[in-house]
Amino acid sequence: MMTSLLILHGLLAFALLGALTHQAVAVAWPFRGPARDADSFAKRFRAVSAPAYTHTIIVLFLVTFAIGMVIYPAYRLNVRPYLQDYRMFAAEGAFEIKEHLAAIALGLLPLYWVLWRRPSLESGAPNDVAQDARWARLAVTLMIAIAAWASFFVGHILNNIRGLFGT
Amino acid sequence: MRALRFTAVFGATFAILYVMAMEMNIAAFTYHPRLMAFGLGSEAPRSGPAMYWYGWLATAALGGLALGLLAAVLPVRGAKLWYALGWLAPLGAMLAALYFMLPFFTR
Repeated sequence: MMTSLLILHGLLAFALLGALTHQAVAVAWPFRGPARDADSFAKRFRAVSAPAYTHTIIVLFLVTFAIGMVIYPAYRLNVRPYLQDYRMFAAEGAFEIKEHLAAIALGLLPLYWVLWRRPSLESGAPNDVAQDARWARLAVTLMIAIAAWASFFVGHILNNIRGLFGT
Repeated sequence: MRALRFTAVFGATFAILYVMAMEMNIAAFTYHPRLMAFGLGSEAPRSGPAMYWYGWLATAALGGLALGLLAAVLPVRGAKLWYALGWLAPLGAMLAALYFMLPFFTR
């Protein structure tokens, strides 16, 4: 059961990374001009409609996080003692970082939703406020993306150390 | 604007309280995975390890909810403040969390 959930957790995280990376690149490095002029892979990657990913990202994040919460006790009982016995403190610390970044990203989700739900927050606002809104949207999206990427890498490495049948 | 105030204050408070809860071990509850039992507050391990992470999340969420609601009902103006608070505080919290984890990598 735990092994199945661990695999599902990894697969959902992979889908989350795809959506988050598309959105983060599209907002950090947008393609200027009509989408039909995006004639290369990189340009098409940047030309995606960033707001369209928002709800998918929120759902994927919440489901992936929830499964992570369910399988976490198996890590504490079976994997962490193994890391400590073999003095793999960096791997243990990397997991601590994963849980902390993911937790803070979870708290950012409501603001993330508001910032992407209402891009029109800027319309009609003074220029400096509109600029602040764009900065906030970029920063929050990048922070969630970085947390997701870091969590994915750490999870993958720990899975390689003692994953599937260690739990 | 209320939604922005609530979510910005919630995110900032959640992040700051989470790091404080983690560093000072202020957990709303403790989970004992070997026993599959919960205890109120930060309990010492009963049998096997004690898990505080769920309790830290609850502590941060409750604090964030309280301050977020307060910010939503108070007549505070200034969108610039909320936009900045919403990402600067969590960014600081993420950096603080990384700093607190350094001992794992310097042992």
